[in-house]
Amino acid sequence: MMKQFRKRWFWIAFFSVLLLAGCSSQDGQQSRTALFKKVDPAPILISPKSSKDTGELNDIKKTVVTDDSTYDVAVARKDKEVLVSYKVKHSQRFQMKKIEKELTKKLEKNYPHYTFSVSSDYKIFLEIVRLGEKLESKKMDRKKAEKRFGEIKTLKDELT
Amino acid sequence: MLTGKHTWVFNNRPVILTTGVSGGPFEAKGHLADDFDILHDDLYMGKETYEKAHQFLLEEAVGKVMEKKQMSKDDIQFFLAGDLINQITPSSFAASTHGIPYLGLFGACSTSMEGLALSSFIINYDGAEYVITGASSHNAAVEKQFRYPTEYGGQKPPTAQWTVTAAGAALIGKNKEEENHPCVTSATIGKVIDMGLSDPFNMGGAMAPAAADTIIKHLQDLEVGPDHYDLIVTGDLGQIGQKAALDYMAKQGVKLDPEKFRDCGLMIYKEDQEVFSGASGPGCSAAVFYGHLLKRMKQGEFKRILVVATGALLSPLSFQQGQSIPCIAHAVAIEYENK
Amino acid sequence: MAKKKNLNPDQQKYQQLQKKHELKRPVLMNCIRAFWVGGLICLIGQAITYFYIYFFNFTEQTAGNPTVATLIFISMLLTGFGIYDHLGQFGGAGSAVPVTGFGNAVISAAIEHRSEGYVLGVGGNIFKLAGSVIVFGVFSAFVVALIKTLIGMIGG
Repeated sequence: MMKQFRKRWFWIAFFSVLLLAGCSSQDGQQSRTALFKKVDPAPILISPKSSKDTGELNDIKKTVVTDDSTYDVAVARKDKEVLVSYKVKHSQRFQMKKIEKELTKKLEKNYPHYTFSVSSDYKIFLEIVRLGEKLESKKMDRKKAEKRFGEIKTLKDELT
Repeated sequence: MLTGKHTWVFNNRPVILTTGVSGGPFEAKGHLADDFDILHDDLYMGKETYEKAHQFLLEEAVGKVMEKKQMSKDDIQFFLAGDLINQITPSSFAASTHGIPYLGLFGACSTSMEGLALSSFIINYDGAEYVITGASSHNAAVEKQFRYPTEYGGQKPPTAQWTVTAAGAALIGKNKEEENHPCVTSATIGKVIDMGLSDPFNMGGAMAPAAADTIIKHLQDLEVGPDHYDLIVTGDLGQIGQKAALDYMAKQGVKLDPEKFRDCGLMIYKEDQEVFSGASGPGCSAAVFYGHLLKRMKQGEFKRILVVATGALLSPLSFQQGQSIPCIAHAVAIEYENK
Repeated sequence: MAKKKNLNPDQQKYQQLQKKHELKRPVLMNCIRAFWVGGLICLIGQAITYFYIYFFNFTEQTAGNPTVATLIFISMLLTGFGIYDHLGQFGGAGSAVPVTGFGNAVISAAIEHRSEGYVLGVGGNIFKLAGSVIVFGVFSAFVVALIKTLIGMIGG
């Protein structure tokens, strides 16, 4: 009896901690669901500030999205550096390394004047979405965004 | 007096004067909770270790026996006890606490009847006025030694058995005409039977032939049929062992009435308690016989019963080294006439 | 399981008789339970991974370590509260194979042998069950790495 009782309370406590943790974030609509759902974020252009470049970013995004193995793509650009992050379809996740290699190759061939940083990591995807939201709502200025961009890029090389 | 090959018949009819039975929390939820003198709601029983709790169980059972008869340790000549733990330390420590001259026994789960048979023998031949015999086991202490840590989440097969946390002790004395107590009439000492089974999670199956062998020998030595007894009860064969024993005896030409062939290991717990094939442990037969069956005898339900305690004489080392499980069974016949 | 080689006819006959009465392990049921329990543990693990990705600065690559630590912590609590052994009886391999099962093996041994003191008891017995997992885990990793290296050398 005692054991049963303790067991129930343990689970209630466990799940309420998870729930509370899930509800208390200050993220925007997109980044809150970015880990679970397709959010299709708009490409982010941090610098240079001319809007004619967004067209090209959209093309880059399209290149990745049209690939059979991906379904959601986030793109960010700072000067000549482009950060591309995508989600891999569940059935294709065993081929993740191969997909990454092929996409990098394709992008570098099509847009030789950029340096690409390609990743399928959820964290990078999420951070790009967050960055976009903060820029949009003016919570972050351009300078800080550039710094954040660099930080996100280094996430890819973190192994431990 | 030796009768037949391996059976003692006690002509002086030593009696079981009183008994003391203690148990743990799991037993308190079982069928026979009312038959325990002392029940604990904690496996540790207020002690630091399971081994100390194990010792405490036996101490309490023995204490209860003396308390019921208002005797002190000086009135009792000998104490015969045993358990499953390495070098039977819980029994020895309990004997040290009570300070009664002590004979340590090891017969695994058959210890209870081994002790009763020897005590009756001593009393019958004027070796003593009063002897206390007991057996005990503690689930967590035994699991720790023979299997895995208690909290380890290993899956047990349905053939496994549950070691009971209980101790049973009995005071054996001389038969005095003016008092009416259940008396021990005969005892058969079994031999070690090894059928080559080596699965420590199926002890019932391994012990069944030992029980069968002892029962058959007992009946042959006394030249009686199985109907002589109102009940033949085995120690801890469990579901598998019980069926196997019945089957095995039938093959040898001894047909037992399944209604009159019961098992202590199947009596102590309720059906919804997860004990797999049944209960086991020296405390099982001791607690069920001293606590429950004697009570029913005194109520007049049975006149003659034969208790066959079975023991699997393995050690953790022997089965890890791939040796089979040697098994033994001792039978003691008890009679009670309502006057 | 029993060694059949040295059995006399009596023993063989009895073992056959005994087999009839032996309760079989419910293999299919165990598999189904293991599937669900194991799956549930992995689901919780995935949730924890997302938790670390979302709230902390961990990537998919690096979130693995804190996730494992958290799962082991949870299994430690469950072991200490006496819940994990019931889960293990129900789920079988489902609760033994994930890292929580390893944690349970270590922690249950530590709890069990605390009574013998910290050095000889806990220290000496903590890997009583998990020790073989470590030994054969390291050994098989070595063998696999060796094979991979050899194939790499042969295949160029």
